[in-house]
Amino acid sequence: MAAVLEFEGVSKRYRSWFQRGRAVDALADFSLAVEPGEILGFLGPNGAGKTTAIHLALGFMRPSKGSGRMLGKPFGHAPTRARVGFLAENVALYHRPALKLIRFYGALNKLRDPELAQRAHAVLETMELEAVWDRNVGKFSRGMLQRVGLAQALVNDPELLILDEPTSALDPLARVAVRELLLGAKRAGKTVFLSSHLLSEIESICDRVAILHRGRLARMGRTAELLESRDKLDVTARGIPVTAFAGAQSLNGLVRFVIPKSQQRPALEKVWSLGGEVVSVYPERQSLEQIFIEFTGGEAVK
Amino acid sequence: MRPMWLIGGNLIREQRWLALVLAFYVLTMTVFLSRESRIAAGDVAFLVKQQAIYAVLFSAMLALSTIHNERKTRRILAVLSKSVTRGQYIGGLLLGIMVLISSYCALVFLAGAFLARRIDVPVVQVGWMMLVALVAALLAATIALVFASLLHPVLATAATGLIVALPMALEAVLGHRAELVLPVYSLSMTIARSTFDISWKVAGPMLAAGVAEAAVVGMLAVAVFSLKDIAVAVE
Repeated sequence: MAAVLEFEGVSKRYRSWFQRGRAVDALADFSLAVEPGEILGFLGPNGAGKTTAIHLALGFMRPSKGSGRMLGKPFGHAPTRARVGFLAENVALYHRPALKLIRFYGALNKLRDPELAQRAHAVLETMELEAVWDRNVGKFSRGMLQRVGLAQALVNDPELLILDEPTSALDPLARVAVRELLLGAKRAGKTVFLSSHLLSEIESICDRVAILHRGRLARMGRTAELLESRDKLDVTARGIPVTAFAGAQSLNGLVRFVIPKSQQRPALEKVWSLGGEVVSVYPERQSLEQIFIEFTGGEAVK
Repeated sequence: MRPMWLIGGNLIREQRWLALVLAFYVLTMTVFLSRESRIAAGDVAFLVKQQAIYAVLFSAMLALSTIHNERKTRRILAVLSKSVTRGQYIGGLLLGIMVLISSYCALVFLAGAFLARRIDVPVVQVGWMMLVALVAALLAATIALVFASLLHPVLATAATGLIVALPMALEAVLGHRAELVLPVYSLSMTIARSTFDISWKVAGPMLAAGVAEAAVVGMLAVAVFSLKDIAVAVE
C-alpha cells in the first residue's frame, strides 16, 4: 500500500541573507514513509528538524534537496490539504468566537453547510468546547486554545492528521481524551503523524516511532520492538539468594536480574545449580526515554 | 474564489476598528463643514483630496503590514494548512484591502457629493477623484504585496516608496509617457492638482495603465509569495 506521507532524501538548509556563512542544515537527506492507518510518533530533541519536516510536508516551505509526497501528491499541493488536519506547535488563531472560527477553517477546506455546521458542532463537542462556542478564543486559556486548534484540525474529518505537540498545554484529563481521540481516529482507518516530547504518550499509542537527531533519522521501528533490548535479558527466578547475581532485586520471594544475552546459558545453569527455578526470561524492556537519550546522545538531557 | 472571499472577509474583520475610525473622521468632517452657512469650495476639495490620498496610503500600509503580521503571529500556518493556494491567499488579502478601500472611497464620495451639491460642483467630479484614488490604491497595494512577501516591513516600505517614485526618475527619459509607468504617483498628483476638473482625457490613459499594471504586478506578487518559505522553524 502506498505511503500516506513520504519524505525522499529531503534536505532543508536555512540561509541567512546577511550572514552567508551561517547556514543551518535543519534536515539532511531525510527519508521516512508513514503507512496508512498507523500512528507514527515523531521524536527528537529541540532543533532536530521535526517542525521543519512537518512544514515541508504542508508546503509552508520548499526543500533544498529531495522531494516528498502527501496522500499521493507532491508536497505543497493545495487541494490535497483538504484531506489533512494540522495542528501547529504554538497554536495561533484569529480572535473570533470558537464556533465561527471553526466554521471559517472548515470553509477554507471547502466544507459547505449543512455538513460544515454539523462538523463544526461535532468537533466542538468532541473537544468539550460546546459550552463556550460563542466565546472569543482570544479570551481562552492556553489549554482551551489548544483544544480549539485540535478542533480546527479535525473539522474536515481528515484522512491524515499531522499534529505538532498536540497535548503540550493540556491537563492530564484532556491528554487522556486526546489519546482516546487519536486511537479512535486510528480505528476509523485514519493516519496520525504525531510529533511530541511526551514520551509516555508516544509509547502508549504509537505503532511506530521515528527518532530524528540533527536533521537525520537516527532510529525508526515498531514501538514494541524498539522498547525491547536487543542484547539484554530480564530473568526472574525463585529459590536463590538475592546476592547470587549482581544488581538482583528481591520481591515477593522472586529474584529478578538483568543479564547480557550472551550470558543466558551460564546464568540459567547457575540458577539451577543453586537449587533454584527459572520463572521467566524476557528481553529487557527499556523505556522510550532511555532509547531517546541513547539515540540522541543525551543531548536532550543536557 | 470562496477562499479569497473568506480570507478577504477575515482581513476586513481584523481591520474593522481602523475602518470605523476613518469612517467616523469622514462623517465628522462632513457634518462640521455642512453646518457652515457658506461652504468654501476649497474646503470641500481639501477634504475629498485628503481622503483620496489617505485611501492610497492606507491600501499600501495594509498590504505592507498584513503578511508580516500573519507570519509573525503564525496565524498564517492554520490558514495555509487548509486547501488554500498561495495565489488565493494573496488574492484574498488584496480583495479584503480593496473592499475596505472601496467602501471608504464610497463613503467619501457620498460625503463629497453631499457637500458638492451645496456649492454647485458637479458630483461626477467627486466620483472621478474617488475612481482615480481607487486605481492608485489598487496598484499601490499590489506593489506593496510584492515587497511585503519578500522583505521586512521597513525595507518593504522603502522599496515600495522607491518603485512608486520611479516615474519621477523616468520622466527625464520618457517625458509625459512616464506617467503611465506604475502610475501611483501620477494618479495621486492628478488628485492633488485637481480643482474638480478631472476628465477621461486627463486621467483615462493613466487609469487604464494602472488597472493593467496592477494585474501584472498582482501576478508577480503571487509568484514571489509562492516561492517564499512562509514558516521558519521555531526550533
